This record gives sequence, C-alpha cells and structure tokens, in this order.
Amino acid sequence: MELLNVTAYRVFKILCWLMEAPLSAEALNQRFAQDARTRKRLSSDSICLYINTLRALGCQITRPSKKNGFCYELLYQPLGIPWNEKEIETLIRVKTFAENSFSYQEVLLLHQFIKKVLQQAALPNREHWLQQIFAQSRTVDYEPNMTVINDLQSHAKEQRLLLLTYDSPVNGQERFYFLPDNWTYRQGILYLNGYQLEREQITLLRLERILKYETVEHPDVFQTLLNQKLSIEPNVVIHFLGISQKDFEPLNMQETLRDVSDASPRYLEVTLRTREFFILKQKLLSYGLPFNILEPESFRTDVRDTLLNMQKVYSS
Amino acid sequence: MTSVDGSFTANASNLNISAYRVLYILLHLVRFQALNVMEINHLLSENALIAKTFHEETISSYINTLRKLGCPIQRPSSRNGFKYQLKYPPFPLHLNDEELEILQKLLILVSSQPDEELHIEFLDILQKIKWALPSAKQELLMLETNPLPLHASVEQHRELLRKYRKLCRDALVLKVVYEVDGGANTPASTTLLTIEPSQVVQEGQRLYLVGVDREKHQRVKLNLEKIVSHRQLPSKIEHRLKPVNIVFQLTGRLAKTYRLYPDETVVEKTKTTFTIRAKTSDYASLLTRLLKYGIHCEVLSPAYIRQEMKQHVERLLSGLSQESPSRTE
Repeated sequence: MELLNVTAYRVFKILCWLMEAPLSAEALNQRFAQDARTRKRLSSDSICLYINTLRALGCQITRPSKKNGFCYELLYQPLGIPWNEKEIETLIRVKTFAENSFSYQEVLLLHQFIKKVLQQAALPNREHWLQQIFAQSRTVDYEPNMTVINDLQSHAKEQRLLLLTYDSPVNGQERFYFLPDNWTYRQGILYLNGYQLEREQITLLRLERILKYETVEHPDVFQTLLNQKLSIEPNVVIHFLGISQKDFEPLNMQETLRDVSDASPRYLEVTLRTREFFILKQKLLSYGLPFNILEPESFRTDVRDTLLNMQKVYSS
Repeated sequence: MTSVDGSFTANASNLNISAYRVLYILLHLVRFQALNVMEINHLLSENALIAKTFHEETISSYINTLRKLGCPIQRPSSRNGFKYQLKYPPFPLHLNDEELEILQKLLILVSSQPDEELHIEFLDILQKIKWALPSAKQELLMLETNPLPLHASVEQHRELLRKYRKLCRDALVLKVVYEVDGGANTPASTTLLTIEPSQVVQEGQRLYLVGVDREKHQRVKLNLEKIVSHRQLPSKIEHRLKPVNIVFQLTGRLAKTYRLYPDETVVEKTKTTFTIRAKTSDYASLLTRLLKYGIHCEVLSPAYIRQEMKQHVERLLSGLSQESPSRTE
C-alpha cells in the first residue's frame, strides 16, 4: 500500500461511507473488504476506534442500538463549508432583497440553493438556521411541491381549463372552474393567479390550499373565462391628498403619477390598470395618507364600506 | 474532549491519534483554506489531544496522506506565501447550472442597489462558494463581472447611506432640520428635531433614519432625502424605547390563515377568532400592517393605540368622503 498513513485513509473512508447512509460494523467491513486499497476486514474494536477518532474531530455519530438497526448514523460532520452567523444573516438579507425583485421561479431556485448550502455546511445548529431562513422569515419551503407547481404552470401556459377543489378558509372545500394564468410569489407565499366564473377580480389561490385539480373540456366556461382574461384591465384613478411625487412611495403596480400642486388641497394623481383590487385595497389602507378614489366607483364604494365598518368597530 | 452529544469523551487511548492528526490538519485547511507549517504546528500544539509540534517532514507526510485521500493541496511556494493551499474542500458543493446562473444574477442585482456593505458581504460569501465548488465549476461563477451602471439616484443613496450609517455608529445625539410638507400653494417648511439615531433602513426605494425623538420619546423614521441639515451634539445617545404589548384580534379568513410573526404569541384561538399579542418597539410599523387587514383585524389593547387606529381610519375616511378636485386632462 502506497499510503503514508493507512489508518487515516480508513477513518476518512468510514466518514465518506457514513455520509451516504447509516451503516453497521458488518456493512463497513464489507466495504473495506471490497475497497481496492484495503482489501481486508477489520475487527469491531478497530472500527470502534476509528469511529471514536471521527467523533473526536467533531463528527456526531450515533451508537449502534436496536432502535437504529445497530448502525452508525452520521448526524453531523465538520468538514463541510464553514459559515459563521454573520454570513448566514447576510444570506437572509440577500434572500429577502431578491424575493422582492425575482420571478417566482428564480425565488424557488434561490431557496433550493440556500438549502443546499446549509445542508452541506459545517454548522452544528443547521436545523436552527434552516428554521431561521424559512419558518422565522415566514417563507414556505416549496421544494416538495415542485412537481405540482410545474404542472400547474404548464396548464397556465397552455390555457387549459381546470376543475379545481380548493380548501377555502372561509367556505371550506369548494369546487369550481378555474383558468390559471401565472404564479405569483408574495411575502413568502406562492399564489396561483387566474380567473373564476362570476368574479371580476383576479383570483389568487394559495398552493397549499389546492387540494385537487383536473383539466376539463367545457368550451362555454373556457370562453367566458378567456374573455375575462383578455379584457382590458379596469382603469383606476386615485388622488393622494397633501403629498407630492417626491414623497410618494411607489405602489409597484405600474402606476403613472401626476403632481397637482396648484389645487387646494394639493394632491398627487395616481393612475393604473389592474384587476388586483384586493391587493390595491390592502396597499391603500396601510399607506398612511388620506386618498380619494375617483374610479372605478365600485372600488371606491368597497373601500369606503370597509373604512365605515372599521370606524364602527373602533367606536364601540 | 467531549463530543457535542456528551456521550463520548475522547482521549489518546480510545482513538487513533495519528489518523486524528492528519484529519485535524484537514479540518483546519477547510476552515482557513491555506496554512503554513508554523500555523499547522501552532494548531496541533493547541489541541489538548495532540499538544505537541512536529517536524516539517512529518507535516509533509500528513499532507501527502491527505493528497492520497483526494484532497487537492498545492505545494507551498513563493506564489502562495509558502502555504499548503486546499483548492476545494473534500466534500465540494455541487450546484447545477441554473443555480450558478441565479447566483450570478443575484450578484448583479445586489451590486446595483445602494447598500454597499451588503454587496461586499455577499461578494465574500460568493468567494467562499466559488472555492467550495469542484475545480471544473469554479470558473463558471464569475465574481469579477462589471455591475450594471448605477443610476444617479442609487449613487446618491449610497452616499446618504454611508453618511448616516457613520452617524449611527458615532452614537451621538443629532439636531436635524427636517422638511415637512407645506400646504397648498406653499413651499415646504422645516422643523427642528433632536434625534438619537439607531439605524438606517431601506424600504422600497427610500432610505430612512430610524431613531428616537428625544423630546417626544417616540420612535421616528425620517426620510433621508428630507433631512435638510444635521449637527452632532456632544452627548451620547442614552434612550432605549420600551417595547409595547399590543393585543389584536383577527376574524374571517385571516383568523384561519394568519402566520405568526417573530415576537407574536397566541392569546386565544377559537373557531372564528384568533387573538394575538405582539411585542414591539416600533408600533407604528405594526399598525400600518394591521390596517391593511381591514375589517378582519381589531386592536383590542392598549386603549391609546386603539384610539390611534380609530383616528387613522377617520383620517382615511375624510379623504374618501370629500369632493375630489376636478381632474385636468
């Protein structure tokens, strides 16, 4: 054997094999017997000594017991890429930044990359950091759902009508026709956008609430929903009162702005086209400045009713 | 030496010490990427199980063993500062082309935004990732690419960010002349504030200085572009805002789908309602979020914040109730 330290080789090989799967002393010995460089079986004392050497290096390896089929299981090894807390925090900041700019596919790819990096990292508290990156930052981990995501995306691309069962938080299980349009990633959640009968607004369905779906042929329903999709988005005009363009924090809905500073009170006219009235309403309620909705009238009434109801709640 | 799970105490008699030495050197080469003989000896002597130094030739034989194990370690030379350099780790990171592309795109994105610190820190992370890739893939991750030309406003924001971050680090009280909106047909006026600066944050496309207003004992968030001038006072910041406990109740769809934020705890969950306690030192931001939930969220306590919500709703209603100015085409 040309190796200078045979034992180091054996210990290292045990680590490599345990990284693939938990193994018993017998299974390790079979591998040693087949290994071109060792070609011999070792005593269980030797294997135990080698496992202890790995433990002394910082590897976490379980003791063989009835519970684990008398296998050595590697829970952690320290030869992965070393990351410190600050670097992981930077990764979280970059992730948050990217989620506001990337498409949903790019966001999911980025999550997959971060998971891969952390899973191979020399971080004894890896689970804690994975928790920080996903659960704590309110990000759903969609890796297990990739097949469904890609399947629904292809139906959206091919404009296929779906009959879908949805677990609505308000109405319980519902079954309806749905023409999917695209996925949207918003604040850690993936939504399937699309069109539903008797709903003017675009419908956003949370992936984890989609229980079942199948493609169906129903020309009348399909045509109605397609017309809805192809129709021009309603025009929305909002006046933000007492504010100039300089102070306006964008709604990020492709709006155009016009400063009207010679009026009394002065206002900023914001014009946009959208079907996402639910999102727009949320943005307006939390914007923090008085506004007036000039059109469409139905949206103005809806927002006004909400505010009147809120006023009643806080007056009681 | 006790392992993390506490079940194993290592001593020289229950392990193979020579194999341990070899792998201990590898462990540190993974951590530092390059080490010279002196540094290796220092690490070996500091380790309680080894506690001695070795001849250069012994170290060289250990390194040769690592090479035979497949670890790509370069010979020490004047080019690498006479260090043993590990070209990539024993268990490299396998990224597919799509993942490499997304990193490249992310780098361009991060380099084109105002926060230079974030860019530098991210670049360091990418350097490490590049090193962790198998050598054939390392060239595919290009870190020296030219970022997109910076928009003038980004350059301006970078300058502001640098300036105000330094002021936060100085931890001195600031006198700030701050622009406030004028009324109709009147130019903007200014107000004088005494601020204890704590951090600079970016929200959307704006940068804000977050701090405490010394006179009002309130957290404030000032748009950096509206700070006309500032002056540091010779007194250190001392104010610490006490966090407020806000209890709010969700109903309808939200009660069933709400995901707790950090610092939120469940007070009560029924079939139709979800009551939550949030602990925050920035209640203004919390209220902004709660407002967006509309009729499905009610602040229950404390009373003064409930009152503030009421005033806010009334202010919004006043906008919607008034006659709009006629639109000019």
